Amino acid sequence: MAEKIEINAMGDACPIPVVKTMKALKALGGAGTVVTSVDNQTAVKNVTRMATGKGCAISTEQVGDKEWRLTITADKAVDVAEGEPESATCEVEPTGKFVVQVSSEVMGVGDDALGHKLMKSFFYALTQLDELPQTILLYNGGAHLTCEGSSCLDDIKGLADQGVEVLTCGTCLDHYGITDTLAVGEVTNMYVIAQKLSDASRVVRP
Amino acid sequence: MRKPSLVMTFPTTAAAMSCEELCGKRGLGGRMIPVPAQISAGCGLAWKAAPEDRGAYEAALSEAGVPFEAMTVVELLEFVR
Repeated sequence: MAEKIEINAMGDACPIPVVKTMKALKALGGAGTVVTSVDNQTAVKNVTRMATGKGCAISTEQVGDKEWRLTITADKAVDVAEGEPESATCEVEPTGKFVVQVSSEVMGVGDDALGHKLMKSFFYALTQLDELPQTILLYNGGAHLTCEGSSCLDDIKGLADQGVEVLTCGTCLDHYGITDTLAVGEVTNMYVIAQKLSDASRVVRP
Repeated sequence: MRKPSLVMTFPTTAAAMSCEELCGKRGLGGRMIPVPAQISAGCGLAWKAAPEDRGAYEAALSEAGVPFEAMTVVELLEFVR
């Protein structure tokens, strides 16, 4: 009769569920089953990817609000190299709350003429990403970029057309006397900026 | 939506910036972009234009003495406006 090993990886952060499961698959030494319990979707995906990569069949059952049982079946000995479980890595799922924070008209410090070109390139590159940002926040010198005459305006308008929220600091627009020239997105305040930054899972600063 | 674009690459960043200035003065279309990954994994600035304008760009750059490396047609993502 094929062996069965149960692994409790509840409460374990990645990559521990993968490490434990891979060690159990090695311990089977032949055909058998490993049943791993985990408490998050990231672990489900990472254990599934590992098991599939090892040629095992896998079935997943959600048995509670935050409990999944992964049944991994091997029809022969699973090839696990010495030290392989310990070197396992995990992919963390992006949550999609990706915010771009722009605090200057230029990208980087040094030559401002180059910095303008780099910023223009950065906004173009944003338009080419598979996943667009949820929000672009612009303040201080960055406020100029959403106003008439900005070399980045077409790309920022394109991003806004695709559903990207574009928010420019009202205090900054007022300070530079350019409020009337805002050409894309909405005016915002520091409370919203603080909220958007604190809610973001990732903040990208050019 | 991806569309074919003519992408000009340059030996230096200064040459790319000269191209932008030249195109502005002569009313040639196009825009500056980072060199697309399809052309090079390196870092650099390139000029993106319509493929049918290749001849006009070659003539203008040569006449103005702005050095360029290559002109390549690549499919680039375009937002629907």
